[in-house]
Amino acid sequence: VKTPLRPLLIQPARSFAEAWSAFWFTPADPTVLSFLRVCTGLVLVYVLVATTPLLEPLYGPDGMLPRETMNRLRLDTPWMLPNPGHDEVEPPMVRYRPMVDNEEVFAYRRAWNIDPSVVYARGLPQFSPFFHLTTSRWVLVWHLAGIAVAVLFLLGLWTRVVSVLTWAIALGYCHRASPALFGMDTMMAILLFYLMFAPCGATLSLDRLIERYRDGARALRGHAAPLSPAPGPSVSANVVTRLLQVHFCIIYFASGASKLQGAAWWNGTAIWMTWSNYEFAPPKFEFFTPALQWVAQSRWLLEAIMTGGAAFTLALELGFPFLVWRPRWRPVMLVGAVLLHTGIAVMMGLVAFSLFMMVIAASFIPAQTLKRVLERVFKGPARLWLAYSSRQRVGVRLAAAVHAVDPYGQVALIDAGKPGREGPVDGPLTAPRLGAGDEEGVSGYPLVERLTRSLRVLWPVALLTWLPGASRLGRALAPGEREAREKEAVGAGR
Amino acid sequence: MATVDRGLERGPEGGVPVPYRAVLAGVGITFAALVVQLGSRGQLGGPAVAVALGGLLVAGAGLATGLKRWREGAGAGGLWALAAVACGLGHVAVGPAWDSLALLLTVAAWVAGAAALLAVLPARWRRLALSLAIAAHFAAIATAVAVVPPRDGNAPWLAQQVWTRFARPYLLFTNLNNGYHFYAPDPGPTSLLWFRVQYADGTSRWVRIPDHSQCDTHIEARRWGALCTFVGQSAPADPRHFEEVVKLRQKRPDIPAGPGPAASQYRPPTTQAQILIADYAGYVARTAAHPEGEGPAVTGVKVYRVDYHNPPIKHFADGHPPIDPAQYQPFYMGEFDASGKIKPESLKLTHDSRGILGHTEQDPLLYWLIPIVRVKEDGSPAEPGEGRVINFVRKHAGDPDEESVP
Repeated sequence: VKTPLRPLLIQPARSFAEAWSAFWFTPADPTVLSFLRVCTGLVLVYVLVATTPLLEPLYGPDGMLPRETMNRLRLDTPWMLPNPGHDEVEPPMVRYRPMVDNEEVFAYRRAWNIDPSVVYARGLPQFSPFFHLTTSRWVLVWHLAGIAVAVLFLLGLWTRVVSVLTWAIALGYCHRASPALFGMDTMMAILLFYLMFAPCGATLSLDRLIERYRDGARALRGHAAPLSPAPGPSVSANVVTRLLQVHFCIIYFASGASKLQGAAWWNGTAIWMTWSNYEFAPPKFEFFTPALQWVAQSRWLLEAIMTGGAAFTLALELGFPFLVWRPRWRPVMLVGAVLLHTGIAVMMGLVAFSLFMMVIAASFIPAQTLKRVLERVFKGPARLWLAYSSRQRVGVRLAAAVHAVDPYGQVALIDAGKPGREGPVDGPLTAPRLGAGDEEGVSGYPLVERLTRSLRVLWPVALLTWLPGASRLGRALAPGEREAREKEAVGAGR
Repeated sequence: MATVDRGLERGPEGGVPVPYRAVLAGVGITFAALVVQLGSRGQLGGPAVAVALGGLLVAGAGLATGLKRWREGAGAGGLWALAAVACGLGHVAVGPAWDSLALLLTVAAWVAGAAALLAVLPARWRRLALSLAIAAHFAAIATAVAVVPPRDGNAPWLAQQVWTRFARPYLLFTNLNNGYHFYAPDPGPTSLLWFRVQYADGTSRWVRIPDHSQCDTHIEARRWGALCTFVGQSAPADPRHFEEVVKLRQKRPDIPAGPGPAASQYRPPTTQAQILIADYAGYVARTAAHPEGEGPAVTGVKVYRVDYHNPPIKHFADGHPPIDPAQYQPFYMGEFDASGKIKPESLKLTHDSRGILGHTEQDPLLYWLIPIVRVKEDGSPAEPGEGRVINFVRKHAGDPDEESVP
């Protein structure tokens, strides 16, 4: 039906709905969220480990924030609604509950100096095992369990369940010690809350490794080439990425807009006030104070630095939410955010806060760009082959494991047990062998050593092979073919 | 993209699909926890909680596995519904002794129930529901931003209403209740706490929070700092009561008033801050070792809440030490006994039998600024870095040294 309203209302509404749907519900690659999970996990593990010395005062039953008091605040804190009228000097008293006289009401009046009938809501919606653990030993046990869960989250093992657990555990710390919270805790909560809804273990995770291993083993047992297609785009990945991006924009805009109310951000002294606050963050470098004193002696230099810093902060915080959506401006905005938060970390000592902010900002990195960077970092020059026999269970397992840890296909898998195969290995294959080009190849522990040192993805594991005694132990447990032959020859000589 | 199975298909293994078995097992374990809780009448609260959490983990694992097979439709909806049942059972199983976990499980049950409904909705309706949830979520976040009052006025009335009625419970639960007014409108002073611990043998020592020399990481330093900031919240003084405290303040002419109007020098803490300051004092009394090791008991702890303001730029330009004692603004929070109870000499509140506050007796200096001033030889105020410091906090606390700060 054609109506005069159609072009005015319906078309714009439809356009808005289509744009909204495209913005939120277009499937997206989960790689960025997996990357955010790893970064969040790293900072979270650090934060939890650094919290260990504070267990007793902040989470212990008889600490500075005693269990009894925190439970009292959790259950009884009064919340009031604002005055319902307009500018009355004595506003009418609104009672949300009937007036009752009993000992509980009297105790509440004594404790909070307010009548419970006029309180709109009582208590704080908080949860934490620390509210209920009655001994320091159990507090420590729970803390260690929390660190273990955070490590699983970092590694991406059982990510779907672990991400929910991580959120609940991390918030347990926040809720129990709410007077000790600062900006970092909100940023941590933002990341963990959104990542909980995302397929953030789809890649860069042990879950993915296990999936690739299973795919590989299944294919290799059937004499087929293992194929593990990259995790496909998903709507949930896009929704969560957008949630992070929009939330980050709100943070920046609110922060920038609220600064406009302050004189110090207009006249540039705000930066000085944050840099010279030795009670907030005592400087870590000896040259800091002489440098500050030197800068303070030149008004022009000082004003240039301070006004420039304040203008940069305001321009970035107010400009970011609008410009970051433009592909041409996005790198500029992201570099600006990294510079700002590096400055905050170095000058004000808010390291974990800044790292979490940078992680949220990283949600703006396009998946393709991130993949290219990851490939450049982790795909090294090594080109290897692994000869194995699909008739041997150990060979299939090893080949599947190599397939799992080799996302860039740097190791060619050669099935020596397959009829009519061609490759660098001649003769019967007694054990899987790893080599490059026309080499004879190595087996046993030397294979592990070579593989871990050649594939950059495995470099963290390769560090273990450099531990004193690791090589000797490895060769004793799993001697290579050459070592076995030499051993045999020595035995025959005797 | 993976194929989406709309129906509740059986697995290749036949019978009940494996994910369903796992979730059902989780429901069963959680139910067992409930039986333990109810059967023992709360005596086995701890074990019941452990069993319930185990059951929920099993159910969660089954749900995660199942959602790989069914992303939507009856298969996914059924799994979510069972997960909601597990959370509901868990809510009862953890019992009243672990009531905060019961709250978490109640919310989890509602979320799982909503997910079950979403899973069976047609795609278009599901997107509409998700869109509404996203809009409501960001509306709550925006409320948290708007509810922070500007410097010289009130927050919007509407934001306050929405905040208290709807957004606050949601954002406090998720710990997203931040106004994001970082260092705004202007960077403020740094909050500190000074405690003067008095021992029975007449000796005393000072404890300061945060003590940066005792902090290994910035997390520790910031956590201690946040504890001080939290108790720095002041309650607005009742104008009628304020006239009385101003008169009372005049009974201590030996501690002069600081510069500025009287209203800015009287900072009564909020009720929450009063409760926490008492606990801080008790903790300090328990943990502050006597200066000579094992020693006599603590007889009192005087607490000062301190704002530290940066020295002006000229102070640095003139090459003075970066920390200036006269930039500390300490407010006396009272004297507490070793158990963390405020001494009656500092504050005595008298309530009638119905709990209504009747009479208040307080130390003349309670909640007042105790100045640290810099004066010239003639006694007139001096610029930072010049003249000498008179530290009235030391004098008030009973220390002979008047210059240095704790």
